[in-house]
Amino acid sequence: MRSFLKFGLPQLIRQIKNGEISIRRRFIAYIISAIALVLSLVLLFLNLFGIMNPSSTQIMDVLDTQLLSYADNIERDYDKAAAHAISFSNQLEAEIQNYLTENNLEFAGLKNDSDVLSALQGALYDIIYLNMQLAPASGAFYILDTTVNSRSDVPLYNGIYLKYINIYSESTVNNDIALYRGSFSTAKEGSITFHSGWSNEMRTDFFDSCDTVFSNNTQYILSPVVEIPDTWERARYVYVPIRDQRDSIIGVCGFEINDVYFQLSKKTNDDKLGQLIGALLDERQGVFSCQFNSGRYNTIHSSDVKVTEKKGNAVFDLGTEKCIGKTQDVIFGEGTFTVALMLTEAQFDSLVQRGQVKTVGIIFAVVLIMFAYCLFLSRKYVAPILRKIEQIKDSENDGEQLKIREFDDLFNFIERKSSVLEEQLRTLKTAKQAAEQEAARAREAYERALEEYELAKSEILHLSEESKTEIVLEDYEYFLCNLKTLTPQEMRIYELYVDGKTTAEIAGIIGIKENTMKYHNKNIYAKLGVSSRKQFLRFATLKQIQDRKGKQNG
Amino acid sequence: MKKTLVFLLSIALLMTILTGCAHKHMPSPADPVTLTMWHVYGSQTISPLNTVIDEFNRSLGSEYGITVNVVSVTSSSAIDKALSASANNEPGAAAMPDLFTAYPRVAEIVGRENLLSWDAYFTKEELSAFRAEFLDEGYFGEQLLMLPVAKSLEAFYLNKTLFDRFSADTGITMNDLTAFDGVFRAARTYYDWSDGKNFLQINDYYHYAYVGMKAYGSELVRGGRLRLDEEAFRSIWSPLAEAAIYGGICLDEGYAAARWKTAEIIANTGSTADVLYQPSEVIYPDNTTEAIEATALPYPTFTDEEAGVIYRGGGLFAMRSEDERRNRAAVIFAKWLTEKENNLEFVTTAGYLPVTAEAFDALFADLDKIEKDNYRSVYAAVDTMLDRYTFHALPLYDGASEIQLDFEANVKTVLRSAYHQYRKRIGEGEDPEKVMEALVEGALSELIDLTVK
Repeated sequence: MRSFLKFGLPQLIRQIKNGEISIRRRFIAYIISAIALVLSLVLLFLNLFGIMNPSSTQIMDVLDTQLLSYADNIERDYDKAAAHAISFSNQLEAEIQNYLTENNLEFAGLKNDSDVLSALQGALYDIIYLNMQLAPASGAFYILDTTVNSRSDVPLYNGIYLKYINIYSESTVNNDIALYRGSFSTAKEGSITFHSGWSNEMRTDFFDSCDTVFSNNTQYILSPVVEIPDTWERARYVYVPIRDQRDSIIGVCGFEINDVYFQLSKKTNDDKLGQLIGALLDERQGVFSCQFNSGRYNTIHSSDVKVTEKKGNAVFDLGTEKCIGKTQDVIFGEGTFTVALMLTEAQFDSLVQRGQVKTVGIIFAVVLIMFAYCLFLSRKYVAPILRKIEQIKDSENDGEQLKIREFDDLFNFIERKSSVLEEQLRTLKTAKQAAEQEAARAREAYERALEEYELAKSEILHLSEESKTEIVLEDYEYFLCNLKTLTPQEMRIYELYVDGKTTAEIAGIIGIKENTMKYHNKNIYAKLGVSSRKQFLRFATLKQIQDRKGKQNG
Repeated sequence: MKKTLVFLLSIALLMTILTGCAHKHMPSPADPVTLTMWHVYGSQTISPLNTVIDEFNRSLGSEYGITVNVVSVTSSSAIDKALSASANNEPGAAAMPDLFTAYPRVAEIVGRENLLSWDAYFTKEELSAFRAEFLDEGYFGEQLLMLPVAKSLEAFYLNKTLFDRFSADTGITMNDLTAFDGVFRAARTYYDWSDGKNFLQINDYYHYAYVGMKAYGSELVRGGRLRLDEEAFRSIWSPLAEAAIYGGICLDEGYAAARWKTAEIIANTGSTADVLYQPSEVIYPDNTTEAIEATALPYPTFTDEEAGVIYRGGGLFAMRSEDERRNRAAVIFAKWLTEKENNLEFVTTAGYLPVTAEAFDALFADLDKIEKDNYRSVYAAVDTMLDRYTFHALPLYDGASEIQLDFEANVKTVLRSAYHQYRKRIGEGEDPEKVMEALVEGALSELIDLTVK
């Protein structure tokens, strides 16, 4: 890609600018540019509307949305539990007062009287049982500030604490109940099973948070998560005060929401994100008290939980692993709690990675489709044009139409023009050929005339030169006048000399001896008045020229 | 150009396939799996299996993104009931758990076709590491649907602190408790000595009858029916009925451990795993407590010739899922749980026996390694039984679960009724021996009638 940018792209741009690029490449480049532009605009709009946000943002958006309903669900459930607790308390207050009145007792008089306290438990059992059935909880309790044995080494409270033996689902309808705290007789009379961690009474330090003083305005309290003694469970408690007629607090009552019940009733999943981890947290003196909807995290020690903020998201360090999520504050009673919804870091990273792969995949697919579309258009649209151009170049037009009106018109126009030009070319070629032939002929005549002219000119020049030096006009006239005096044999010899034959050749032709030739020559010379063979030949040649000219002229 | 296009398309297809298949079958932290589990190994008080599961979740589970989420720790009968409700989609029933421990009888309730076949995921070598008799119990035809993770024997538990007081006054010693005759005699004596308290709770009358009939050379179950009309049954019924009708045996529902806590009983027969629930003190109604020492003895015998005991403890079942990752997650957990070290850690804190031969040998090679006295006492009793006793697995037949539960309830019903009649009639001055004889016989007839119906 880098080398493409370094060498390919600038070269391509230069080629486009200089018009060096083929129509096909230019076409593909333009189409890709157009699609890329449209794609960029679409992506820009999608981004503006948050549809194409980075995966991590999308995940957090989904978590945010889920958190709204999740927090609402938790708030509603705890509010409902609190409402039941207040009603429960009112019922207990009325029944306790009723019991005390009927038996002519004071609350303080209950201490150390196991029979009376057992009887009171019997009187209150139905109330706790019914309220437990109604409330969204895993257990219900009331404790009173009294005991069957004030001499016990460990300070104790008397009361009843019922727990569902097993909670399989959010619905507790089918669950059996066990007596976790309460008198022996309460279990027997109610025919209920003893919890395996059963004891008669509750230690006063049983609920750390139960010691909290209810201010006038505090109607209920949601406790931090505490370990339930003698069990493997942890729970939060929603509890309210029980008051006597003088409005003094004589105990508390409420409901237990253990980890298992929280897990089952606060499950949450998302179609896109999969399994989500939900939690209800509260922080006291830097230590988080947490209840998760996954048993995996409910075993983590509170001090190991650390929450930090990163880019508007909450990062939960749970000791062995980290989670990323969103939080929302909710208020229960007087306390501020935090509802959190999160994903494990591995889950989050995987989702982000999956999102990135998906985006890259989409872009890759779009580019691929774009590429294929360009190829298709090139083949369907550009290739026939190029073919047509080639055909027209080669004058082999098959007459097939491109079915593109403008191009068809153009090519038809070019073809018509081409036919006219071809005809004109043919005519010009014929004319050119005739002209060339005529020119050749003229050139030949000219050259011949020129040659003759040059010959005559040189002859005249020669003669004029000779005449200047040798020829005497009287001698030549004498020669011409006496030429007719020559005998036939001498005339014949004379003509053979004019024809350019040598003396020997002439003797051979005539069949005479050299001495005879000499004799004839002497006679010829004498008759014609020449003194030398040279003068003889000069006069003879001059006469020949004159004879030829005479013939030409007339 | 065409080649380039084909190349690009191939890459796109390959990427799609690879990204699609990458984590289809194995759980991973990136796509975590949570398996809900119901099990019987523990109580509301403590669950050694939960501790081990926490360890799994933090170690191997964390590597694979598997969380085993224990939702319920309860009795096998409660699990049976809940599974039945879930399987039948009863209103208010919970969703079926992904994993649960139960007895083989539950396969019929849930439907074999809905259960994961472990043998498809374990190699032959891995399966050969298990004790054969434990593994055999989990096969349903060719399929291994129940994987043994822990087994138990029955034993006899005694509140030694209170028994010693009783023994000092009556002369009945722990040696008298090796056979049921002695146990029943002690029960009657204790009733008188304690002013009407039960000495013993028998946690499983079906087991009592099954082993007893075997001891007398007979079978409790023949042809899918209980043979209560046989002489062998009469032999084991009479001493039991006499002690129960007299008042020495607790016939109420509920756990023996709870009655130990209130000193309502001082002995019980039950699984070796009951050691987990034994209280270390008793609580009296005035809220005073007393520390106690508990001890375990071998299961009492019926005859001198034949000593037998039921070995029990169901196994691990997994619901078969369409999502293969969930099946794999269940298998990863099961393999981890049955590894020697993990299995030993789990079973020795729960009073169970390990399931692989290697772990079994390692446990009994040195019992002194067991720290807690009451646990060491249990494993010592088991060691004795390993030498002398015949181990019996309960037979599986059509309706076994219902027949067993009915038998259990019927025995208690007829004996409870007979007990009240006995006390009433001798209060009215009738001859105790004659009344007892009549009631023992009457209760048996009534039991047979109820069983036949």
